[in-house]
Amino acid sequence: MDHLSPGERGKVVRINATGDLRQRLLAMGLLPGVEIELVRIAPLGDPLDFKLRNFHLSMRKNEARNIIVERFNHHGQRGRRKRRHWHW
Amino acid sequence: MGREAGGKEGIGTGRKSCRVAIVGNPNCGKTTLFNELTGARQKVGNWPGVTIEKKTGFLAVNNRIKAEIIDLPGIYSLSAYSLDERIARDYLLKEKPDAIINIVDASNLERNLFLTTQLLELEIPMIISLNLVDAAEKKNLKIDVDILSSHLHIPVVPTVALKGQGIDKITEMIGNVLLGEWHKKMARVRFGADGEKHISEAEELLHEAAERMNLPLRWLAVKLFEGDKEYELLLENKELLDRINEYRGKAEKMVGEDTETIIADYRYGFVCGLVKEAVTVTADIRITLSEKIDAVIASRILGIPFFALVIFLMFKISIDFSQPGIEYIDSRFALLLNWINDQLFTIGAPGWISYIVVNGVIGGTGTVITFVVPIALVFLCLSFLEDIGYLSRGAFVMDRLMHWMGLPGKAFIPLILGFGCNVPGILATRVMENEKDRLITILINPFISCGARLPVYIMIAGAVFARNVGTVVFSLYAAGILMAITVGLIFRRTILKGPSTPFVMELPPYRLPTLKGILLHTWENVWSFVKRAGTLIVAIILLLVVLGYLPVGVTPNSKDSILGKVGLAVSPVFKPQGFANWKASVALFTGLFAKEAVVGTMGALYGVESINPDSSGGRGRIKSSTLRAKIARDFTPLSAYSFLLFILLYSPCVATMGAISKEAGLKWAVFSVLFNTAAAYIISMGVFQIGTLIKTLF
Repeated sequence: MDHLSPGERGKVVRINATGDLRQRLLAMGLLPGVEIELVRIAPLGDPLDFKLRNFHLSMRKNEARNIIVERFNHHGQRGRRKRRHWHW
Repeated sequence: MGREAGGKEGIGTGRKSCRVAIVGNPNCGKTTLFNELTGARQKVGNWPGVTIEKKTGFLAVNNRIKAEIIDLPGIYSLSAYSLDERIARDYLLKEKPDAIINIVDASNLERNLFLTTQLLELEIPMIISLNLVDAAEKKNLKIDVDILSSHLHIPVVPTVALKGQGIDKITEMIGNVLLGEWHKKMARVRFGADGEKHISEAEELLHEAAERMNLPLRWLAVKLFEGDKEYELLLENKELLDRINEYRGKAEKMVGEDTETIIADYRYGFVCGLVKEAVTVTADIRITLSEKIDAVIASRILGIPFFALVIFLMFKISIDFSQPGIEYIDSRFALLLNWINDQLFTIGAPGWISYIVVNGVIGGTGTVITFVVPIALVFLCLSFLEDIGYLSRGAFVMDRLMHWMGLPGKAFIPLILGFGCNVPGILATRVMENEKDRLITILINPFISCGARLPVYIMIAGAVFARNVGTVVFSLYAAGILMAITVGLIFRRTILKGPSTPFVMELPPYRLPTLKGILLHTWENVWSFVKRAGTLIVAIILLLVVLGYLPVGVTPNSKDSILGKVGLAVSPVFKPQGFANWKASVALFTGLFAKEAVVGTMGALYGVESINPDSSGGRGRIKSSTLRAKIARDFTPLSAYSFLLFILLYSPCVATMGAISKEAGLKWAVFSVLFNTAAAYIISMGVFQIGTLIKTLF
């Protein structure tokens, strides 16, 4: 997720974080399938300001690195997230 | 609403006192709602064992019920990871309040309702305060309260806590709930057919354990299924745990994702579905006002200059503007001192009583009160910045710099404030969430050279260094900053080791703060400083005054007083530092009152008339030329520099001790006194010895 450029959007594919960080991200609704946009980078190059689920979340590159996103193409492919059906 | 009496037994009989907890995300107006419900009848303290603020207050719900309202820390979920979450969770599940008010931000429903889905599992009667409905309207969101209420099976009250809207309705609803008008069947999130199967299997196994642990069955089952560390430890029957982990392993293998994620996904799925039904977007706004503001003041180019401007203004307001206030209080206190002195004289009180009462008790109180003005102004600024939402932007802008020191961006403001005065600097660490980060920021704050040390530098450097005073003073400031950084890094790697907390911070939308909220917040902080730090400060000042006065008959603070004798006895200790004269030692003692008291003491001891090295810092007039000459005789440039370094680094003054004790506990205040003095001793010794060595070599 730290590879997005400001203004770019993507869709979360996987979260590699563990423990505390993972739990925080989950609570914030950062889940596989959710849309995310990198809004801006802080003046000194870190942290990053993301927008998801209509709110802004800032995190350091170090944390963002653990979140794998699939970048949207230039036409800004949007589209509602489909509900997943887990078979467990 | 069903009339079956659920929840606790006995509610609704006679006059009852009940407990109601307010739970919600940070930045959704939780404290404002708390203030509106409880008015001025609040009690601020700390949660047991930690420095996180606990606020309670009372609400007369109706003529039968008086409820104690508890403001729980703002949290995003009920896991056991962060301290805030653990406090909230422990309170809800162990203390079991009679009801919950879940406050949610109507303009950010999706994320706020995630916590709600967890609260629903606690089996505690609950109502929702759908707050900030005005902000939601501005975002063109139309929310159907009835749909929310009927889907969640709990009362939902639209509120605008800032304007007091909906508060009466909340009170009424709480009254109904406490009187038993609550039906036990709140909505619950279902985790899919397969998930439900696993969870109900786990529930079967956990009946007894849940009863013994006094936890709601489903909650325990779901949490163990998620692999909640705290409950895994609490579960006595490890065989059960293995069985549940077996289910969990199977489920995770099947999906290729951990159960925590799947559970969270179902919760969000439930919330999204609900929001879709209850909320209509009347017009799509792509960019909100907050985003437009951030595009300027948090931008790459303007982010730092704007932050610098904010800090500068805050400094200006809290330090400069407080000067007239401090001087006014000082002068009033001088009048009071004289008046009390006269009164004591007329009633024929012995001289020693007058001296101790006037200088110790009243003078000490005066010292505490002079701090009230800058502290009040700092908190006025901080509360304003916090309430408006800028504080998190400041942290966003400065985080990179602070991260290098192993601290979060929010540590910047307390440290900067330390340049004015360490006391408000230490109190300002309240804006930081993480306990260890906060403790480090508190402990390194005294190394930041406060305004009170400047006159000392000027007096001594001015006497000894003639032309290079500016350079010397600058180097002292730099040494202080360097020391703060080094000690911070050392503490982070030693006594306060811990995984550096992940930095995941919400940037809430900007909001107009209320005067009432800001004033209340400021008042709380000032009052608790006076109450808790004040006692310690007065006690220490009293002790030093007594030591300076005894034995009876000597000139106070002279060579013959206990203080002077201690100075004489102690002074050889400072031989390795090059300032083994008793006057310097006594000045270091009185510098504990307030660092600027060194000026007054040195003045008095070096025999300049009309100096009264009293506890208010001895702001007497000094005939500087003679004083300078006398000081210059006792110091070489090297020993003077070593003395100045010692003054910069050694034990924080009593006011700062009080602040540390209040914020981190007496243990850490004592630690700070000992550690800083030891550090000062070693560093000044190093500088003096190396300097002497260099001098002899060349």
